[in-house]
Amino acid sequence: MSCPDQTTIDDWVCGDLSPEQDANEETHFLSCGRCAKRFDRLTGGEEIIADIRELERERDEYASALSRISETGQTLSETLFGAI
Amino acid sequence: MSLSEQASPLRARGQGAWRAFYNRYAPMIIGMAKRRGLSDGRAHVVLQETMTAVFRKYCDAQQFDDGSEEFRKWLMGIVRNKIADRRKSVARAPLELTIDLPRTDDLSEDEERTWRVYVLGEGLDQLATEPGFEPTTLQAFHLYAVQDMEAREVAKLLGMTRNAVFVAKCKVIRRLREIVAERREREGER
Repeated sequence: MSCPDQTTIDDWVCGDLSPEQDANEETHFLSCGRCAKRFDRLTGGEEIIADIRELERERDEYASALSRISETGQTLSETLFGAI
Repeated sequence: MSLSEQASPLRARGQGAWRAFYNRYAPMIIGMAKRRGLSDGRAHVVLQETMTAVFRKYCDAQQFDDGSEEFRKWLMGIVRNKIADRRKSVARAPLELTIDLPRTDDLSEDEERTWRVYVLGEGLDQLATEPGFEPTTLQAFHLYAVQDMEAREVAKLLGMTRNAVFVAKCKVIRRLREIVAERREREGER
């Protein structure tokens, strides 16, 4: 199978191909080092990755407060639903 | 059947919906309060007060989140006000600082970012349960994209090819973008 053109790679990165085409291109990318590098550069997602890092940083930093969430929820649930 | 017995299944259903809502939003509310400098104890007071307000408003409907943008703004506004209340009480202590918080309906940049990160967290949880996203795909994405590990090392660690690591990163980002877009679209529709 020959390497796809740039448009096809762009479409694959954006998820714009049909399921069948998508699977075919993925099979190609899994074995073609040249294409894999090409599309890895296109993937982007820096903002998403930065947000995930932020999410994980907060989960670590606020671990002590977050660890009590379940306990607070149980107490609150009993209080609120006990009153109706 | 007594009135209490009749009300019991209704109450149980409402309680289940409320707990689901609580589990979904509590970490975000704690995060907002902590970022505003509140102690763990005060952050939990904000959480309790916010959840009580949600309960009062939506208990009869037994649906605590309709997924709309209006709901998002309402919820963030409640959290913002509860944080402001806690900060005012803190301000009575001599060494604490107070900052006036915006009272508008529009969300601040920080609140928008909080929401975006929260939706992303939900997206990651969703991905973990979707067919087609094997645990190794998510691990490869995390190690390579989030932790900045070399693709070659990730491949060796997880027993996959380097190309498979690139593909994993691309597939996860692609799907996360879709999930966030779908969520935004649903918000706009309601």
